[in-house]
Amino acid sequence: MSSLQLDIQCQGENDFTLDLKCQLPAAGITAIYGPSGSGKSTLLDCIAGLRKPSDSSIIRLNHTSWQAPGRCVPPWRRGIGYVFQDARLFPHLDTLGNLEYPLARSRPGSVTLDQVVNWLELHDLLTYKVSTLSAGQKQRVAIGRALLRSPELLLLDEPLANLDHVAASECLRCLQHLSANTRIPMLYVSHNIEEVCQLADHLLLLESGRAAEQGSLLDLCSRLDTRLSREEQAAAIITGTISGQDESFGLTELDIDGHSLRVSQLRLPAGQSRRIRIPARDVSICRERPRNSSILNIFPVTIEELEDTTAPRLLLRLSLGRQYLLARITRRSAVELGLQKDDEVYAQIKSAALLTGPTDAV
Amino acid sequence: MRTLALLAILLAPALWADDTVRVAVATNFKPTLQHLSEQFQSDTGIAVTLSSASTGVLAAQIIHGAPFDVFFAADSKTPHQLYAADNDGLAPFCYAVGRLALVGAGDLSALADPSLSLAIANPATAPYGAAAIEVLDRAEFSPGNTRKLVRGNNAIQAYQFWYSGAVDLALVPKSLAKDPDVIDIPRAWHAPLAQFALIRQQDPAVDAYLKWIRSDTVRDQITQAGYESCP
Amino acid sequence: MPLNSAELDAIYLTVALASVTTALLVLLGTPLAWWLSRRQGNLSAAIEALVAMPLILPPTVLGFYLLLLFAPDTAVGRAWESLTGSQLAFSFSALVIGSVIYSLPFVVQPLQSAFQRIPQGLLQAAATLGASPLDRFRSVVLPLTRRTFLTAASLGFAHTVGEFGVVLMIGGNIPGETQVLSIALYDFVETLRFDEAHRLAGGLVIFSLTLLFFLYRSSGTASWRIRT
Repeated sequence: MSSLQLDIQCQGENDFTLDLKCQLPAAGITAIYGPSGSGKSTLLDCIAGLRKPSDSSIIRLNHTSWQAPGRCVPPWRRGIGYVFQDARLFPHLDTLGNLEYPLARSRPGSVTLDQVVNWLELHDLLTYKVSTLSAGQKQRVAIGRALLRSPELLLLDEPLANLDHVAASECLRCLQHLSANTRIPMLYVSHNIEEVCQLADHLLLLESGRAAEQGSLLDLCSRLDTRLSREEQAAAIITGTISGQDESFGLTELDIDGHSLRVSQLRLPAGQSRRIRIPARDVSICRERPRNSSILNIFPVTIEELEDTTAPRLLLRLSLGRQYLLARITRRSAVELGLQKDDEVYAQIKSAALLTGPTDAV
Repeated sequence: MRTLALLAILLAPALWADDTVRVAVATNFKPTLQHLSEQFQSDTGIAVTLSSASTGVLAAQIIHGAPFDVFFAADSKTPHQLYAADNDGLAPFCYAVGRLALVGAGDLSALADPSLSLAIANPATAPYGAAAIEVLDRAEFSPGNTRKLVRGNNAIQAYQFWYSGAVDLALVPKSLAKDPDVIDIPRAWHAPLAQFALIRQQDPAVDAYLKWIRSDTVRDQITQAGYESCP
Repeated sequence: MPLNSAELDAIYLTVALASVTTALLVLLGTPLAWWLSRRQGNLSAAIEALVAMPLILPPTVLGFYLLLLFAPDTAVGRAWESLTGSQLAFSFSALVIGSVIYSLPFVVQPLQSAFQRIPQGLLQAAATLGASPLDRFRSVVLPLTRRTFLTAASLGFAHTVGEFGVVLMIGGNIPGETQVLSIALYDFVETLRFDEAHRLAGGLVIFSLTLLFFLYRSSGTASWRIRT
């Protein structure tokens, strides 16, 4: 099982210290999520070798040691690729020149120029001067350039932060595509939970330079005890399979452990798997199955856990088959309905909440 | 009121000008003349300003209008040339005869040694440099012709090159060589270094100065400084 | 009017001195400028001050110290003689050393300025793409600062051609070895050879104007090029 082993103590600016010890899977996409100032970029810089952590730190990918007491491999000798927030393309080279830059400096690897040009749709941009590219185009070229290093680990530091909505969606789509096509594990830093939910398999939560939680995305998202759940946009993620299309009403049906979820139309073939993000605030509870409701998605669920709090609203963790939902209701309602653990109730999900972007990968 | 004061200050030097003797002096004679002029100044209260460079340079400045009252050259030709062009005032007079000397060696055979570097004044502008060339052209010194020959801007710089240790030998005016190991160059080896002075301007202060320079006491002092008296 | 041999010698000598000095300055000045551009602190401030000294000190100060330093009876003079077999004082090599020190800020400062304007992020990106420090310098820094190299070299060259005070003190005015144009010109004026003086001075003016004209007109106007 490939892994990235980290034991890092690093002094940042303004008395900030990064101090974490954990092991991350070196497969798929691992998102590093946390608020600004939590040390995400510092962590990435240490892994890349752009910043030197304390001498006793350890950074190790599978069997290769990049940082150990008395040993620090410089960035150009680590098998990493790095996509920066601001692209950082070389202004004196055109697009093709930028893409070819790492090729001249690496052993021939698994990624070829043609593949990258195809995956990231760069055919038309190859002869363009870097200064003429839009922000989204620049970022795609930057991703391609980093990939052409055929890295063992691809690092991305909030690559979509500087992009407008359309460009961001475009890049996001490319990244999902890439993850499926290459075997290159990615570390994706972001403070945007929606991006994270679209991309990540695994999640590391950072708080003030320390690792707060880590685990699979699906798991962490539906837990009540993580920082994620305390956020306003707390949401559970469920996976469903496309089971049918309702053309006349523009809806698609997804099968979720035997239950049927209707969402806005997704032009995908039947049988394809899909992640759906369901914000807790869009889920409400009733003791009896409501009749004549405008809400399409009503499921029988079991209350797994109630948040123990004195705040006006509380969170509930609900199990739906083998998956979990979150619901945020007022404490008063919880008390009035007499909700308790193991109660079997009904969850209502507002369809409008199921915003699904143009993604087509699991 | 303020303008008057300003004018007074600006004009004052011009008013005092008649009481200052402006002298141009070839570098070899400068140290000696400086010493003598200080005596004159303290005796009479008349100020003397000295400007010093090699003879050729000073001549060029005078041709272009430099306001010197007296010009103490290091040769005879230059003052006479200037006088011929101008024909104003008194004819040049001889004030000293210079001696060339070698410093840095125990005897003159050093001039035949090509491994010893030698400094002389620039022959084009300094008579002592021209005299040095005459000496070096002698047959017995021809083996030394491949030596490193350095030309100082004037006689003092030639001496300074030797003094600072940058060259092994120097052919310099005897009056400049303070080192005890000085070898006089035989007079016959070069054209006589008769040094003439040219009077450009005449006024009571200049007259007093010149009279004093030609006095016996001063003549003695000049001889002691390493010169010889005029024929 | 054909140039006489003294004038030709002086021109050849001056061009040779300026060329050798410029080549040395670019070779030595580039790593120095790079080091200064990436560092901060007391040491680099001190070195920057040293580099800038020839800008404000009179050339005669430098000339004086070099005169003493190159004399055969000093450690430097002796070492030189044992290494090369000839004397350092009043030699072409002495002029080269003097010129290198004297023109140093004219080459190092523009380069340092240009290097400082290269974003550190760009170099970090290059490092993550497999470029070692030397590689980064060659493949990223140099292409972005080409124009500045041209400027710095031209300034160093022109400044050396114009050197007078230092050469006057340590040159010894040896025709064919240390009598450079500025000294020859000075000599001609002193000895009232104004025709030759005109030729040399006029020639220098035309040369300088032409050099500067082509420098300012030259290619490299791309907006991303860092220039001083």
